[in-house]
Amino acid sequence: MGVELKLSEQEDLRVSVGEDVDPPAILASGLGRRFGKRWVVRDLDLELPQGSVTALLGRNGVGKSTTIQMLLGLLTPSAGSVRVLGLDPARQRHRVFTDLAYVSERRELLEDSRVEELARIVAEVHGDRFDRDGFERLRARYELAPRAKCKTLSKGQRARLLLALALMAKPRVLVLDEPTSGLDVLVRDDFLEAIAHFAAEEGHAVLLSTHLIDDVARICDRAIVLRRGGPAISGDLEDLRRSCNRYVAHLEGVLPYDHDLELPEGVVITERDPRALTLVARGQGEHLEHQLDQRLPLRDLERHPASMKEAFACLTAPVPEARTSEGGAA
Amino acid sequence: MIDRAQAVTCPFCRGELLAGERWWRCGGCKTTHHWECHALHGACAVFGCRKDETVTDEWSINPDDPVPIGEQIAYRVLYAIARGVYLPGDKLPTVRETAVRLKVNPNTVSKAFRDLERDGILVSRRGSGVFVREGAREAARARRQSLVLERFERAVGEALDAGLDAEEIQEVLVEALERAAHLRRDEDVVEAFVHRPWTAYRKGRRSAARKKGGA
Repeated sequence: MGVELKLSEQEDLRVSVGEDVDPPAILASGLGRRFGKRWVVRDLDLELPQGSVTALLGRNGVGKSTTIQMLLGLLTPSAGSVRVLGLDPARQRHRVFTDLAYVSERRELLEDSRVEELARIVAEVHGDRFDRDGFERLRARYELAPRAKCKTLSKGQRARLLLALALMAKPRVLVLDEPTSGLDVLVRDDFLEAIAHFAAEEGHAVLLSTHLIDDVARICDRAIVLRRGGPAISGDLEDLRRSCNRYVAHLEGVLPYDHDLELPEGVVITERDPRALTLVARGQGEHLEHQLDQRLPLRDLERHPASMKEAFACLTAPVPEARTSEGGAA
Repeated sequence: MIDRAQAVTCPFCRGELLAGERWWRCGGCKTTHHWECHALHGACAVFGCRKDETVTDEWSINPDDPVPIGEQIAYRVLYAIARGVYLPGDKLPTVRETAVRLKVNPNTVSKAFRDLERDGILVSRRGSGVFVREGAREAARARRQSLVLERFERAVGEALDAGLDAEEIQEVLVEALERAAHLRRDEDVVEAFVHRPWTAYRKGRRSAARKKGGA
């Protein structure tokens, strides 16, 4: 198995839990950004603890990339503040970037340089921190020719090259913005493996923005879910999943396909059959079941734990504009 | 819910392929088998392909399963111990190795191991790794059996729901038992050729490792 990554034999199970003495890898409070009059991100509180792999989730256009750019100091926030390992990324960018590596979704390279030249440039920027031998190993493993011109590289090769460069600069925080979108499953596996390996190191943290829920379920232990029109939800991945339930509502009679359903807020339909509906809802309890009973001709209602996919279909749903409290006034 | 996790059987020893074990998937005959069985039998010569044709190891974690990934890992380690893949005193792969191989979060693996440690299956020794505890095999077996029985009960309930009566269910059961007996009639052969040399092989590897470490 061409696994070249060196695995240390020595370790202790409790290492990764760690005592919370160091500052969080990334901490943002009240973060907001508007373009013109439109707030893309608003009142975002976010924490990326050391030792975690956190997913940044949300539907398209909800401000994931904007958020990441603000966290990296590449975009000035209209409100709020950001700290990366206790530093301000806008003012101390060079210090922040010695400890942080970022792979952007655009995968830009110096198009006219060759792979080895690019590595040399990155190595010069990072000085002794850059692990040239490690880069050579990864480069060989990812099958990147050293003399290849960057502009001739395929999408997958670009992603791999950026990953290798990012890892070998020995960062403590790794930020990946849709690293594998549009790439095949082998490149995805490389990324997953690299993240698992990186996160096993003490004091490392990863922020991963992606749409691939399977990957999130595999590799992440926390998630931040951005929603349109409402506050973000964040927490332990397993807790987030458990906060959602799948309901199968067996109906009395047949429901016409074009019938407009009036569902309680925050309830998402995942399957619709003439005599049964599959719904995913946040929270549980009699209140919700009562509401469903009032609005649908229910014969029977089953409750199951939601899968990760269903939970995120529900969690990422936009929040309606005129919103009172959770679940209405009753 | 465990029954949603797919079980894959090793064609050599007919044991389930579990996480915590190394598997090989042969590019020639497309069968997946234990690393140890593979090493013992000179790969899949049995199936008519060349030795060491290809190999990737695969682990069966299903991220979309309602069973949390940590639990999936814990169950597979448990099953591996129940089957004797890991014997008391054996060292498990490290958290990092397991995480990288399964492509899952190291914290998840570490939590799964900790849960098993709490249940008295594993024991971690500071600085040297995680080991199978004495007497863990019996405990793991009991857990596995209770899980299977639970599954059984659910299947019986489902059969009754589907309109089968008690007699038909019994018949199906007897038939299944006969088929299983037929398939396993050479159990002794399997025992002699697979399990014992395999243990020997593993022990040999361990002492070799020790020598290497001592030198």
